[in-house]
Amino acid sequence: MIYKGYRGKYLRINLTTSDIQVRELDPSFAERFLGGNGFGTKILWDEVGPDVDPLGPDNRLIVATGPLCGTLMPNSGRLEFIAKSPLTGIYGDANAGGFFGPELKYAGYDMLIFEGRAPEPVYLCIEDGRVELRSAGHLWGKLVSEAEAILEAELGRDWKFATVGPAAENGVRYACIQVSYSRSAARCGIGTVMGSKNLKAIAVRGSGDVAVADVADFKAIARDCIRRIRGNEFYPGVHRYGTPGLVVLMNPMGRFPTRNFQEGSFEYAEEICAERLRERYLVRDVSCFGCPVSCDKVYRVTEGEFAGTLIRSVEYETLGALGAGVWNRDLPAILYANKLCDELGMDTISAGRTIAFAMELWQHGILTSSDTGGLTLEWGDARLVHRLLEMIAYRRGFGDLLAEGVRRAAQAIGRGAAEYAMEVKGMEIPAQDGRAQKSMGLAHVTSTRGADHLKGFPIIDETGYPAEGLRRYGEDYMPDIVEPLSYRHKPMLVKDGEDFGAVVDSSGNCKSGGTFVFAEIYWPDMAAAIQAATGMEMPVERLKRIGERIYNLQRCYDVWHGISRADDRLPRRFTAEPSPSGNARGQIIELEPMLEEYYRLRGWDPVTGYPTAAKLRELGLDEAIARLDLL
Amino acid sequence: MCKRVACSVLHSITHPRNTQHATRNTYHGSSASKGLYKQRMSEITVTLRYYNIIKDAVGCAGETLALPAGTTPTEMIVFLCQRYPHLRPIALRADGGLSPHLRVFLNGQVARPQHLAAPLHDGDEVMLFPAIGGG
Ligand code: SF4
Repeated sequence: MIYKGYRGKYLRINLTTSDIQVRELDPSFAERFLGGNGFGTKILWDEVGPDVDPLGPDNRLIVATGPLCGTLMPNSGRLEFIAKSPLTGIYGDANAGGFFGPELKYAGYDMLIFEGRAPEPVYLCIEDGRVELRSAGHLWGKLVSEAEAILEAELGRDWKFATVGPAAENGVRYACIQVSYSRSAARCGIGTVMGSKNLKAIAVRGSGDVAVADVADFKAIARDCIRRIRGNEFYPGVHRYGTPGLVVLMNPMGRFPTRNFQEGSFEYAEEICAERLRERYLVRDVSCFGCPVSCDKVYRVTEGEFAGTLIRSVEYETLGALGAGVWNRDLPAILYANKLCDELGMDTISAGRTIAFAMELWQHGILTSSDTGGLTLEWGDARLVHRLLEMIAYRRGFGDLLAEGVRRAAQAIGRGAAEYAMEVKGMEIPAQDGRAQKSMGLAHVTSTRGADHLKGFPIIDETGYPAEGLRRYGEDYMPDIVEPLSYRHKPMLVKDGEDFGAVVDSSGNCKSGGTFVFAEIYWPDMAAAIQAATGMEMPVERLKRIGERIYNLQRCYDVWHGISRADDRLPRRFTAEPSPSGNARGQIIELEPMLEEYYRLRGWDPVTGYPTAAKLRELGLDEAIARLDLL
Repeated sequence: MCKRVACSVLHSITHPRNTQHATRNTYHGSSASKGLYKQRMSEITVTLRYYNIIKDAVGCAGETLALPAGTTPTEMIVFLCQRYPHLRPIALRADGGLSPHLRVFLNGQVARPQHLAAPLHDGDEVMLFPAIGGG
């Protein structure tokens, strides 16, 4: 009998044979890996080895919710997509908000596992106990909004969709999955895996509910968390301006990458910031399932060439990647580029960074018009960005090379291009220059999915969290723990964030709400909520161990795929070129001392970077010891 | 008032050649700080930039402020909270101290506690951000 908080069932869908099986969720699986991110990690570890081509039928696409997803707990509408990444060749995941995760649970399922490849395009239709694969021949090639409009016309209202666009169909290595059009499971080419399986969409509608173990306790915890989130000092600013509010803050910090990270500040930041977005284009505030924060917004461009562009979920990262990163100060043009990415189904971060990389190669004369098919890659050419996005999505001309992502493009170009490839383990670096905040530099390296701010998500040293830094880590670590330019104690901050983040991503909760951005909901709150929801005894130490287990297994997966300490590196720009910008001026990232300390805290071998047998035994991951030959 | 004056001030900041709209607001302060003002005898001019909900609370994106020489950023923020009551819950704790979540940048650099307690200089630029964070 499965714990409460779960629906206790999942679907295994073989797309090659159209065989769909309903399976029972094993309680011990939930005890060890909790949900979402943890479930996907373990399934990938068990079923997808190094010999599997990420774009072949043997890769899995796992869509997993957690025990808090769809409950009263605030910010609990998130779900995870996990697969071996076609961009990096290692562990890959992407997380999305919206309403799809709760709907899947209301339909009766905690998770979907896709394997194989459909002979023809299909979509999966789930309505409570009725599950069928249907032809998607009429949807193939359609933009995301077109495909969802057709599905809505066919199925009726109140359905939730997860859909890929033409970029995924065409094998762009950083295609995303759009969740009910506007929320993106963006990173790692998770949509490319879905497209490679000829799976255009998943449609779900459910009428069930999620029972919790201790209703009174759970209600009290959820109510307390809502009260604290609403009362938190971060609430008003995040509610009103969302993540775009960070543009003007990160800019003087020198953390806002400009022209492919040549600078960390953009002199036109105030032309592409949240204040301007709200003032000129806001339609209304919106929210994901059960979220009191409403960091999400709908905007409509009202003037100029892009008038009429209606867009939701514009994020800081997109303003960075399609704005400052390519020296583009034209806000309506950025919104239009964002819209193109949403419709074509591409990660705005990887797409923008790959274009910025090409622009820098042009700047240095490494690329010329003979490489680009006659295109001139000048900084700030917004129309060129639009054109390139379409060329990438359809793999036309020069876009075919950029569709491979920064690392592969650099290898194909040669001629010193790798020097300017701003990626870690094959993943393009988001709008977080670690020279301005040292913990971010380490987080990009130790992230199990390649360059990423969201695995460790260290915010405590962003300068605005001295009280939280003191409360969480104590006097002994002050002031360095809250000082962005100090590298001392940052490995502890990053490790804690990675383990806590693994739990948050496994529970169905959101990192942009109470947990990370507000630094309000922490280990004790999550442990109490999970215990009340599931009925599992969940002291904080046990939950910490689950987070550590998930993160270590992801690292084991990467090690199994050939990752070692030698891959835990940053682009030379970060470790050798002092930042020219803002508060970070003169700074580099002191990676080596941070890594040494990080391995020590993790209990990993400092020479190889592998988890040690002792650590894996302690975490109950004995299975990994023999497989990785760690004895 | 701030909105009309400061927007033209910000305009002049953004477009340095267009200075005809620049307007200064003078900090006369409390009686205690008036004493301070007399003692110090001289005045400095500081440029302020407001962001996010601070911009909303103040009603404009920026302004220039004439202050008694020797005024610290902390004193200036306390003065601003008297002048703009909606700023108070964002910038100050209940006991009147600066909110630990308030971000102050002084001439483009993060202002640390020692900078917040040291006198401002003529021509300084101060950026004020409320509690926002993440990525
Ligand atoms: S905080 Fe933002 S992203 Fe997270 S659940 Fe709420 S609205 Fe969605």
